[in-house]
Amino acid sequence: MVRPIDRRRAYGLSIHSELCLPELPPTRDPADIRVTLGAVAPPAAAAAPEWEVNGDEARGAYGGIGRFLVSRGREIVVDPDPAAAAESLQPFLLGPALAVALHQRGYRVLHASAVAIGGVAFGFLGHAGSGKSTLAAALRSRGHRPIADDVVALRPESGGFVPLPGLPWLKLWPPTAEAIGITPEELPRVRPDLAKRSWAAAEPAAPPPTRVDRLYVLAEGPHVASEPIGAAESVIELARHTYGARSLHGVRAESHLQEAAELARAITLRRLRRPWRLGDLATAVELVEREAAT
Amino acid sequence: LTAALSERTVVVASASQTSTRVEGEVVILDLSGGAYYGLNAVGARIWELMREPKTLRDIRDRIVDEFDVDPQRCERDLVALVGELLDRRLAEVVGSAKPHATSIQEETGGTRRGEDPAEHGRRSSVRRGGDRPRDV
Repeated sequence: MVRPIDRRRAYGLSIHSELCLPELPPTRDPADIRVTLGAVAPPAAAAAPEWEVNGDEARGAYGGIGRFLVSRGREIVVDPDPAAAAESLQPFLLGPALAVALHQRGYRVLHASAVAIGGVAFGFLGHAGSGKSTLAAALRSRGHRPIADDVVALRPESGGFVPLPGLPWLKLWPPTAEAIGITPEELPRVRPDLAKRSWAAAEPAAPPPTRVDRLYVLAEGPHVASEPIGAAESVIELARHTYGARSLHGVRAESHLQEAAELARAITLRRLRRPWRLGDLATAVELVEREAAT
Repeated sequence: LTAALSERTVVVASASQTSTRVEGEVVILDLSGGAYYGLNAVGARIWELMREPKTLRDIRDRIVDEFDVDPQRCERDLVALVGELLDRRLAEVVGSAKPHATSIQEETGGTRRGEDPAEHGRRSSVRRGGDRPRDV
């Protein structure tokens, strides 16, 4: 059976997909990654909800959504759950499954958001709920260009790391949208069953930045402040915020640590503390802008 | 455990860890538990020396040689650090060297009074960096 192929671009790669990916920009380039529909055997029960890695293959399953088999960073087989709507499948394909493929291609994949300020990339690392997307959205509302949200991929290149332009939207909870002056009802939902909204990016005017200047590790604090992070701690933070730190790297923990150290040598980390409330968002954004200018 | 350490005790980094050096500091990953630990400059040098089995005396002498540190303080910090590394199974005791059997702490009088414990901690203690997180 022949299915129509949707050709789209993300993370600088051409994705030829049997699943429609209408929100991604189109491309005419030959395929870097092929997405096909097919049967995927379930991962071992012990692996769920993490990915099961077998050589250059990784298998993941999400209840009510489907199973994914990602191979050599070039092929993604999607086996949808019969109950899953296409709109529900896409966030998992372009989220974890694509992140696994980026990892397999040798990119450094971080749980982070990234924004270009003055032509240079600044990233925000943190656990879920620490404000990665919120800060990226607030910076975007100030006219800075978002690079990626949730999954930041860095391509190693001549001793440095090039941030790759990710999915062209930011995911926001309604209160965050309101805090930066956006009416949440005007934005589409990320998934039909989720109140979170998707804020699509405009076509970028400038070329993407070619280097990451600084990564901020987000943490709670009584007031907005930033502080340096020592070398050893920087490595630890990078290792912890690597995408799939346990499942993808568990089998090769040694190289994971070495890769985190390599990143720490190339990129400066700082800790950005702020109270967990939206009222101080503007102060945090001003601090990042001020530090970006120095 | 720490009390059992003497200057003749031979220690070595354990096999169930991997470590890396960045800007004079060291990060150790415990391969059995998945936790990360950070060591400052002096701790990093001690760790480097422990890659091969060594007596605490050998390590102490090298550190006193290379860093501007008071020998008595160095011994106390060394015993504290090695004790922590042993507790966390990042290092192990592999034997005891021959000569005189005085405890490294007894030799220096063993007094800790009047010292600032916070400063002591900063000098060479193991900082735990947390576990690797679960994936989302």
